[in-house]
Amino acid sequence: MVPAEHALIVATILFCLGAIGVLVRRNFLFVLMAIEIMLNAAGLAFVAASGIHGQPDGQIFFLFILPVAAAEVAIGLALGVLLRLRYGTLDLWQIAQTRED
Amino acid sequence: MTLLAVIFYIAAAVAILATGAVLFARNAVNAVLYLLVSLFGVALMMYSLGGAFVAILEIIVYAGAIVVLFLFVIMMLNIARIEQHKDLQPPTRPQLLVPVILALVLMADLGIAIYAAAAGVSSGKTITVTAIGETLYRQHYLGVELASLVLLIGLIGALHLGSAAWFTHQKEANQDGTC
Repeated sequence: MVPAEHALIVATILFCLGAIGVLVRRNFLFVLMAIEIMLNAAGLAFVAASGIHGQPDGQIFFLFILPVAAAEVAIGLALGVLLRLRYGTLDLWQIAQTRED
Repeated sequence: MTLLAVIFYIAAAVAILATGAVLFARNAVNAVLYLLVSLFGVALMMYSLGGAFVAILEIIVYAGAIVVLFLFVIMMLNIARIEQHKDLQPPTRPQLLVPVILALVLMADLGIAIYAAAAGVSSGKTITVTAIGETLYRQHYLGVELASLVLLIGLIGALHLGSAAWFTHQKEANQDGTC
């Protein structure tokens, strides 16, 4: 049996890597991927908690994270296509400095 | 240290390495493929923590749907051609070696998992699909309704943004005088 702390530590490391990705990367697609990593790490923590207590509720919360992640990535990628068409780039810093009005 | 713990630690190492590679990848397609390896690693971790059903769902929904959606958009936007001219060159040796090694390690890990399942090793707290379904539809049925609403909103939002993108594209095409 895996110690509970180790599972939670791994989930924390993955979440921190995702947060670093959101802060560091400039490309919109990479930011979306980092957000996916963070959601995934949260799901792993829920499943680990479910394993610790032997109850199915943690896994059910992972089932609720899944549609949130799917809807988020669908809207995010549609936004990415729109950004690419409107500004000609996916570089978030460049887009933030461009004011079109 | 049981067999399931071995599976967990190997999968954790692979997942963390692959996630790090996602952050530092220069090519979007490489990053998506590393993300795929990371998701498989997390799925194996979930399996070793007693969640066989959620591990399958992780592979089907994350690796099967979300990653493929990323690949579609990358192909559609043709990012490789626009932002990274270097990507047109064939990949170098280390670029190929790292993902191959990570995937081989994961495959060996899966082999251990299959061996453990055949030998009848279980964590003792494996949650069955029946238990999940019972709890989901008896206690959390409101959550199921909310999840369906979230998916509906996602569908409408993606459709709206997609049609906005289409109109923008048409307007630009008209201004260019190509039509």
